[in-house]
Amino acid sequence: MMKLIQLELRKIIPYRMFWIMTAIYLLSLLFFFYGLPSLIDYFSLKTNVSEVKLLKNFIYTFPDIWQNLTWAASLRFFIKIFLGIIMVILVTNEYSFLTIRSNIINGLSRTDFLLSKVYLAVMFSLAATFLVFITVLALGLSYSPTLTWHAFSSKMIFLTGYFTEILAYLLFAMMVSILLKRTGIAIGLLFVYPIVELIIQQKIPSGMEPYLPVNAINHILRTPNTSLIEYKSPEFTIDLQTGLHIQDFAVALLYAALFIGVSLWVIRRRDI
Amino acid sequence: MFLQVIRFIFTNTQYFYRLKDIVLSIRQLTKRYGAITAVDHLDLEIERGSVFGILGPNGSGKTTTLGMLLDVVRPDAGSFSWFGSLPDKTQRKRIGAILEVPLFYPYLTGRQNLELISSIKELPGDDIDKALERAGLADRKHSRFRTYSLGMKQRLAVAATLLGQPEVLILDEPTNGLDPKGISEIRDIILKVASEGVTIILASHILDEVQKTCSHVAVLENGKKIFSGPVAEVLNNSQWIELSADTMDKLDLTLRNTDFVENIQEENEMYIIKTNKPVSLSDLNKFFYDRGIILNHLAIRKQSLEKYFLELLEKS
Repeated sequence: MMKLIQLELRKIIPYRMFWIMTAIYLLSLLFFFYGLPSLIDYFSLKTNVSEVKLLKNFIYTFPDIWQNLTWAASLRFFIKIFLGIIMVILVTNEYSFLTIRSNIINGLSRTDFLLSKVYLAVMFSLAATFLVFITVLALGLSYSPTLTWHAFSSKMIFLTGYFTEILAYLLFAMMVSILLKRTGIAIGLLFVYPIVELIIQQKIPSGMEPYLPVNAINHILRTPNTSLIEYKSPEFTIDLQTGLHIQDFAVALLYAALFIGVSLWVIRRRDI
Repeated sequence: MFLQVIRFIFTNTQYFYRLKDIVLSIRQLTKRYGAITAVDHLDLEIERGSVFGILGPNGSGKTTTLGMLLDVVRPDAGSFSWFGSLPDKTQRKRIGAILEVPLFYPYLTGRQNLELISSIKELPGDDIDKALERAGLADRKHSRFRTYSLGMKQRLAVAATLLGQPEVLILDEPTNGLDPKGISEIRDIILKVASEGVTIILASHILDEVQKTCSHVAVLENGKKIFSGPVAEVLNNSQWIELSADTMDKLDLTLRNTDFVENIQEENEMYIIKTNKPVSLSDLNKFFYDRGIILNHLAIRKQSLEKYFLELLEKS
């Protein structure tokens, strides 16, 4: 395993495009998380609605900040798209440079090749989770007026939900790349498929929606039921979330396994 | 007595096997692309230490065959074994191979690319600089691969195959697109490596290349093996030579009375002769000079592979 990880690092560390994309991801994440408080301040000045000013405290105080920011960072059309694009570029590159051939000719098995990409997805997910952890720590500590250990840690578990969602999403991006081989088309599908799924979910019987792939890998973290919404409208009817559910993890992880399975099946069967 | 006989047979079978050390054995290997059969029930055996040429025109199935041997192309039927056991990744680590074009990460430097390959092959990587030097890329090893010229790319590919002293070298059209200097450089490397006892499998559509470097050859056409065996037996050593002199009738007479000329044709006021053994042009020149004939034209006529195939087919 370490050998394959080392191999992937050799491929990406000198790759300028990788660092550019990483910088874009990093900046968009930090801009959003650090910029939002100022945005709220701006609107509260404009509107003079007292609740808007309160918003900042509700979003950025422990323990709800864990849930709010992990949820925002894993939204399907939002920041995590950049991570997906990085994944697609790194996998489709192997096809456009035909280096997947040279990897196999020189002594990787086809399974090794796939595993190296799975490890890459795990590494990115860990890194993204760590980044969110650091950001939440910094913001939470500066916005929470008082801090108890219970308040700090009670919703930290949402990080595991974030990790699982990102991992499943990156494995989805990996499968799409292996199936389509072309960078442009794969990135296109990464954008288009979630929209297609929104249409599909109108057509299928209700109750099935959470089991569609992109829904499933976004279902661990749903719209947070933070104290704000309770405060504002207790009779709100949308699907609000107070805690994590083990079955959501199970469905997302099953999909992750399916993405790996399909990729492996394709890669072992196809001429390279 | 009985035991002695058994022991004799046993030791001699061992001896026999060691003598005929088969590196690669292919049985009934077949690959189809739709209606086209790219490789058609191919059988081959390659002995350790031989320089084995796979000769055939473009599209005859050479690259597809090599692709299957390297697990890049999935065979539809048949099997092969490397070093006497079923193919897997550990065997490929003992093989250095180029398939069609040099395949490297364009954004990595020449050295970084070789480091990557070293790490896939689980080599210590201490011979990378030496390999780059041998390929004449020492001063460009920190430039990105995409900035290399075609010849440099090809030389880097050859350098990559030599990492870790492989037991088998697979070269698919290694001189494709190179200038004469590049071709002779690659040829020198092949001959040098072959002299060190490495088994070489060389796919080529150039008759001359196979004739000059290989000890054994298999000739493919439309995915089928037409001939195989030692080069000296399979590819006849005949040459076509063009010559003319001011005194053509005297030349004609001399030609008809030599023992090395197999066939004489007349074309555009010169003779085209076919020899039954390789002769050097200087020897030939001297031969006629000694007989009082001054040649004004003397050249080897390159035989096209297609023409050569026709000849082979006629012979069979």
